[in-house]
Amino acid sequence: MTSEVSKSASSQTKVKLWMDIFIFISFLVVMEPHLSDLPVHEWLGLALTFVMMVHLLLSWDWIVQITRRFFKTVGGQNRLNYILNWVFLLDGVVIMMSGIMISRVAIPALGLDLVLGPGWYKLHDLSTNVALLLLGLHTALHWSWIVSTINRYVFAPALSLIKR
Amino acid sequence: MKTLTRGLIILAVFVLLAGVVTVSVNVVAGVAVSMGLIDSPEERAAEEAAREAASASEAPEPVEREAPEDFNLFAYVVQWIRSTGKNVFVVAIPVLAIVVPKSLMARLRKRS
Repeated sequence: MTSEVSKSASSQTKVKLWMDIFIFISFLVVMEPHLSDLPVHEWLGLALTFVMMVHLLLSWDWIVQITRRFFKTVGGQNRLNYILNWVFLLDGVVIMMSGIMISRVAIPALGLDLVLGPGWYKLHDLSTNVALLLLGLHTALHWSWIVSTINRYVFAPALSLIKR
Repeated sequence: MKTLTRGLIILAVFVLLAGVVTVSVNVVAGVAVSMGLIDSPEERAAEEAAREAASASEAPEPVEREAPEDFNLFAYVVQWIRSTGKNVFVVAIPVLAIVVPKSLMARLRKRS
């Protein structure tokens, strides 16, 4: 039973790692719409919204745990991490909404015609630049997890393959 | 079932935040328009239409278009690396600013 639980936790960690790598690479592609072309930028950006939801789903236990204990016994780093994640989520929603509002390919292709209010372009630019900084902070706060997980699931299996 | 419920909760949070963001932006834009700080979408559309009509009436005679430049894969890759490198650099700054002092402190603590 215990081994089954640890097996499932390990496979979840693996999924999370590959998903995070995918999110990071996609984010870099989405950040350059003039190079990746507008349709790729918009569709990949929309797809990232759903991938982010899965990312949150995989971190569900941590989110619930910290939310319950936030005003009681949460360490400084966890508290900072939790607040930063909420800011990141809000920024992500701003990027998504402003992206939908200024969309010229994906949203019209879905048959929606949105009335564009002023300010959405600037907001999209600003929130994306803030997201870069927040991504850096998010990565820094999860650095030990990233290093240990990459060592465990990427480098260690690769080394054992070479040693054979 | 548990996963579906959790997914729906996350979706609800997304939708709620999206609603808050949209309403806030529209309220701020409405206030700015009423104070005359920015043009309303209708005014901007009318201005744009007038500008387009003016430019159409003054349109120069069509010039033969130059053939598009050949696609240069090397230049494209270099451009990708440059602009993506810039973004990676911006991400790396906070990572280095937090991780390096932290690991240095941990090493110093270990030594002492």
